[in-house]
Amino acid sequence: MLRPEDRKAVEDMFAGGEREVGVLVLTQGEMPEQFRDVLAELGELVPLLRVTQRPWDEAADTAISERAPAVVLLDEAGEPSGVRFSGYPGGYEFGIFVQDLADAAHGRVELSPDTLSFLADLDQSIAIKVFTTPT
Amino acid sequence: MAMASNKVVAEAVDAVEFPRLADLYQVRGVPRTVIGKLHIEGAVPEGQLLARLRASLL
Repeated sequence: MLRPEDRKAVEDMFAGGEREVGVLVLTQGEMPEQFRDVLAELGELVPLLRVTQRPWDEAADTAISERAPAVVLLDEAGEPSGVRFSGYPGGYEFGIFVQDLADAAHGRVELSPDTLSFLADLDQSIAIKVFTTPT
Repeated sequence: MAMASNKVVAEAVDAVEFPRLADLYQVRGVPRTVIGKLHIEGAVPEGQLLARLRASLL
């Protein structure tokens, strides 16, 4: 599924990472074979990765994700973090997804001091939606 | 930002998978970033996003 050069790139991205990274996949119907396979391959390459999946339950899971299918990054305590993908990340978004996982494995946040200061002073919640299309 | 603050939720939405939501937010091109009343077309550098966010929260 992943090309040899992509497999190497993934291994390099996670090299030195020490934190377990959890991902919760909330499915709506069958998970597409392509995403299932690439996720399994990612799991082979990244021993730190823990993937759980279950069908999205509108009543119970709306607090985690208002829609499904969704892929939710978990924090160190295994609780849903604020990073999520509505729809299975594919193409360019898959690269973003893997980068997010690698950042989490390294406990790394690559933001400017200005942004970090803004976030530290934030006294209200912010919901950011970025609409994309699979490419 | 969502990794750095528990006050931020960042959601990448597949506009093809969720067309009604994309319609609701008047998505005509991608990427389109929506934060409350703030709508930004195209990729936004971090500094610019921060400036727009600061202005929108005033």
